[in-house]
Amino acid sequence: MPVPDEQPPAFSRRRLLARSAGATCALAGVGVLAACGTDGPSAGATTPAPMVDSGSVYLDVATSERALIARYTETIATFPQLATHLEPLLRQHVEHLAATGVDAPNPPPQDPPRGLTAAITALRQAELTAAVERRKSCLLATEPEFVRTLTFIAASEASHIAALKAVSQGT
Amino acid sequence: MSNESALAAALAGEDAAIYGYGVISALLAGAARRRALDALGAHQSWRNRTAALMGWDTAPLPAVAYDFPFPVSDPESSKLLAQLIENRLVVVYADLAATCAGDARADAVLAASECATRAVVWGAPAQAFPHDA
Repeated sequence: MPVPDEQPPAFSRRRLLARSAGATCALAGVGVLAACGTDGPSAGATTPAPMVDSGSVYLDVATSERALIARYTETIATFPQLATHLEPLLRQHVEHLAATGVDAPNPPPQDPPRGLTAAITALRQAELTAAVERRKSCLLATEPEFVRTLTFIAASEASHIAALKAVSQGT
Repeated sequence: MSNESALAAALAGEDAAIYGYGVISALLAGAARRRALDALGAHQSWRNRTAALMGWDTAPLPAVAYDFPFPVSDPESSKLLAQLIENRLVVVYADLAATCAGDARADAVLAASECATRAVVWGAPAQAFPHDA
């Protein structure tokens, strides 16, 4: 955002700060806030690349994502009124599963809790467990691009906990 | 990306976040301001941790001021800025996690998780691979 030097008054604190920097625009923050005179940082490519990590990390993550997908699917089937809130989160787990490049068998079916609030709480608990597991997976992985992808997945699942809290407050 | 450049990006990102939250908290009131001040404290803490990893003597100082990609002048735009800062930091920390191991990587993953969570709490939609959309 250009600092509005051409607009006379409005002597805001920000303008003051920008001026005290001795420049017509504010200064740089690599990657997060733009440097003066640039087009702004790119968000970076977040599309996961194919992975070549060894060991069982892929399968562990895939198994966990399959379990989350099943849990969301069952919850949406039982409480269709939650579909608008839960389907985006379900789709994100499908993306997480795809990012592992492997698949895992579906877990045995499990009825969600009877009450709507309890069902959301159960999903939150499952996301919390998944977020903790994923942080551990990040430490087991060796291929840097897989570590990066797992970090995004861990962050996504942590954010799902907050998203589900908003759902339970909105219902 | 080398670990050094990823650390430098994290430090610069946290400095930008600290500056941003100064503005954001000034534009908010009540519970939202408290939430912004909590976030400010968290970013200061991560900033210090990153500076310690870089070595206090070599860690660059923050800029005097930072540019915002859109006008930030009211509670609504300040919450959007908070979402943007947090989601961009997720990418910065994912880059960092990929360049280190052990406790340093665990910290980067935790920081990314905290940032993604705050972005959603500020009203951003949850994402499969959180970034500034």
